[in-house]
Amino acid sequence: MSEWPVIQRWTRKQGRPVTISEIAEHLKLTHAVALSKVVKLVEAGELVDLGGDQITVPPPKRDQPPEEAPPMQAKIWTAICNRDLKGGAWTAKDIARIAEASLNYTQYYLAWLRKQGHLTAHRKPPAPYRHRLHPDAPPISEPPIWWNKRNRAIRRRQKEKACAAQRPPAPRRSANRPRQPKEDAPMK
Amino acid sequence: MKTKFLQTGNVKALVAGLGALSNTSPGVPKLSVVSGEAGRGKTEATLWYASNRGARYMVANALWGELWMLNDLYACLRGIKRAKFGTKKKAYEECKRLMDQESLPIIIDEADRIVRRFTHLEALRDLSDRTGVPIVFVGTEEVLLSLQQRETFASRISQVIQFKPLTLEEVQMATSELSGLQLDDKAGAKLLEICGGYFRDLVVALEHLERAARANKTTQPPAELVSRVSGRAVLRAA
Repeated sequence: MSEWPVIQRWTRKQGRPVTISEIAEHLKLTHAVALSKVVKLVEAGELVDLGGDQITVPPPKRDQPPEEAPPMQAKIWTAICNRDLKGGAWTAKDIARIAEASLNYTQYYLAWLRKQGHLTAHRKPPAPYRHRLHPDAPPISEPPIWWNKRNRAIRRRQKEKACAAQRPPAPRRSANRPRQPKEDAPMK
Repeated sequence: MKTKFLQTGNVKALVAGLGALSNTSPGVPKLSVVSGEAGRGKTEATLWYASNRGARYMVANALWGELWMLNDLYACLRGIKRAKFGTKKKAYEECKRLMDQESLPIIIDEADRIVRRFTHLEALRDLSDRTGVPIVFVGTEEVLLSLQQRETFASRISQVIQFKPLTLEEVQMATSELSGLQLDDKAGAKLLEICGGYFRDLVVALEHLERAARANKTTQPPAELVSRVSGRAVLRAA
């Protein structure tokens, strides 16, 4: 996380390259302080120096779907295709056991595959879904990629939290130092 | 029941056998047979092997002609859904070309359906000999007997993996791993007797036993409970 997101936000808002003087003027900083902050942000990749005192923001990073399926999804898909060759309907438990995957993850992946139309499924509650591969499903060598944006966002937040936890804690107040008495709230 | 794949003695033998088959030097025949009675866990083990250890998996069809088999083999090797070669020659050449490029073993399940067909077997043997790709026939005891009766095949089978009945330790381990129940030797022996060493029957029995144990609030079901619940369950499934 940038220490000065306000500089990025303001620069992005302008929609054009800005100069350090403009940043300093807008944020009411001295030129030297603004320059120091901008240099740090450029080094961190948060801003881009175009040269000639022209600063801009990097193009937005869009979360692209992965080109290859994650290994576990590929493994589950292989297990699905092979199990389907054997004939008969199968459940998420069967696939999780064969692929040595987590049952929870397999169930989510199968639910997504059902939604995409790669699987046909039927069930009589409370029995679990019994699946078959759809005739138009992709072959074993092209596992459908389940791109879980929500999980990615959660993982990113967890990573940021972990990074924040690793920072040195703020200096604590000395135990010997007497606390300032709080001012009494005015009586209403 | 937990979703866990158990490493029984049969699975360990399969892993060791197929691993050895892949590492044999060129020139050594690379045909293998996995045999055992129905319900011993052959298919589950081979499916697990194909998904986790890297192998091509295909199922023999009862109506396979030579061209159909070669088309299916090509589709299996390429990882596509189906191949449509019009001639056996073309299909054979393409299969050979692909098998030259890789060395993953090819597992053919339900091999009982093709062991009586001479040309199918000869075509597979020929491909294996020329390319060095291991081919594993999975089926009942009949597969092994039929292949051993043919002189050309008998000398080329370098690995025979027999799926044996479960042992008492394996039954106790399966009970503990799959349902979290602890069986003493007496109860374990009773369960082994009921399921006859067949993994398929053991899973059916365990499903019922787990429910009964939960109802009785016990984690160590006695032999009487095992006998009463599992026996009925296996009979019903049969």
